[in-house]
Amino acid sequence: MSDLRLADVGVGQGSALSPVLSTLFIAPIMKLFKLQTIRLGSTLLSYVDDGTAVTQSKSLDDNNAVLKQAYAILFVLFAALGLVLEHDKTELFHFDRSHSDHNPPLDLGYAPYTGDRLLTPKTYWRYLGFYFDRKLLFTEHVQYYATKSFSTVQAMGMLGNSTRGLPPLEKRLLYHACVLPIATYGFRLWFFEGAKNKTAFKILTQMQRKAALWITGAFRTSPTGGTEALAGLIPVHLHLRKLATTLSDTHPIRSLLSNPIRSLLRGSC
Amino acid sequence: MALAMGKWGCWLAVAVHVVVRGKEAMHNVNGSPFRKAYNIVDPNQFGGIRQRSTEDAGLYLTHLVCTGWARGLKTSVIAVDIAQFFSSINHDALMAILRKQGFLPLVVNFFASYLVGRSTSYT
Repeated sequence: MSDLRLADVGVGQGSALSPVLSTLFIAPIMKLFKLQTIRLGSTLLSYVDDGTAVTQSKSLDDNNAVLKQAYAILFVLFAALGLVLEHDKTELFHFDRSHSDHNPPLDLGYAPYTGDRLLTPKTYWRYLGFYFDRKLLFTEHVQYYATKSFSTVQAMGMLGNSTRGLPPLEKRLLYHACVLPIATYGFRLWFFEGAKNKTAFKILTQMQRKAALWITGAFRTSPTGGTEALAGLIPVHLHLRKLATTLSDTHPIRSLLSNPIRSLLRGSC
Repeated sequence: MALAMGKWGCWLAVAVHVVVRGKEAMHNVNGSPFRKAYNIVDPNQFGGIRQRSTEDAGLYLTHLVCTGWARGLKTSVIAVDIAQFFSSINHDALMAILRKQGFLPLVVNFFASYLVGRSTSYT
């Protein structure tokens, strides 16, 4: 055993209290950033330790100029609280639905992204487990999670087949508990009234078909709908609709939803 | 009062819950140690709070982008990474922040007894 050392920094990693304490710790930064960027026009979003400065304008080059200043302000604010930003892990991303592929890099003003080496924007931006693309189509996002679930289902194949191993009831339970929540993570971002999500449903249905075949032990040419029904699985698009109606009445996100969805939710709740 | 006696248990869960539920909730708990401390958490701050999950954060961001497009604006973001976030939270600074935010000394001392003056050793 070593000598006792004073632990005067840090909250427990993994403790349930840590997110709350760190939220309180970050709160002044949010306020100060707001005050200092009133004229700049930049918003700060934060999820525990994931901070993101957002800015909007008519041109991406103007955005870059604002973000550079916002970053400098953030750096100073965090430094004042004893937190260090890792410049080399800073990420830049532009949302642009026009046809132009203008994707300007940024001179961050801090090493290593200054001078010759510029901070180049990503093609896909991973933030909080979502894969954002420039046009907010989320094809990449759905593709990623569907592939992930598909390989899980494939690996689950070794747990049982139609003659031995897990009985269908348990196979279904396993799929419901361990695969579906991952496959549908973040569905609210791409599943809403008027969204184009044909491809998304197609790849998710393919994944669920594979699971249904495994659960029932049906032949691989069996029709998707029938096998799903026998396996007790809801078709993906209906499952998502069911999930979408679980938003609580007081949830702030409700105010962002379009009216048809809101009335739909009210009708079925 | 359990807090004053420094007792743990379900009280902590209740207390934390009250703190983070927002302005209305604060006004409903007149006379509690939290009555002065409202509007602490910025609406743009997610995580560790009920109804502010990653999904809500993502949805808020996409909403920002879409409303920007509707007004003919393009959105750019810069994501920062904090080195060793949880392990570099300074206890004295945290207590000072809590005090400044309007929490009663009772509450600040409660958290101080949890964090300040602790020591560690390793084998």
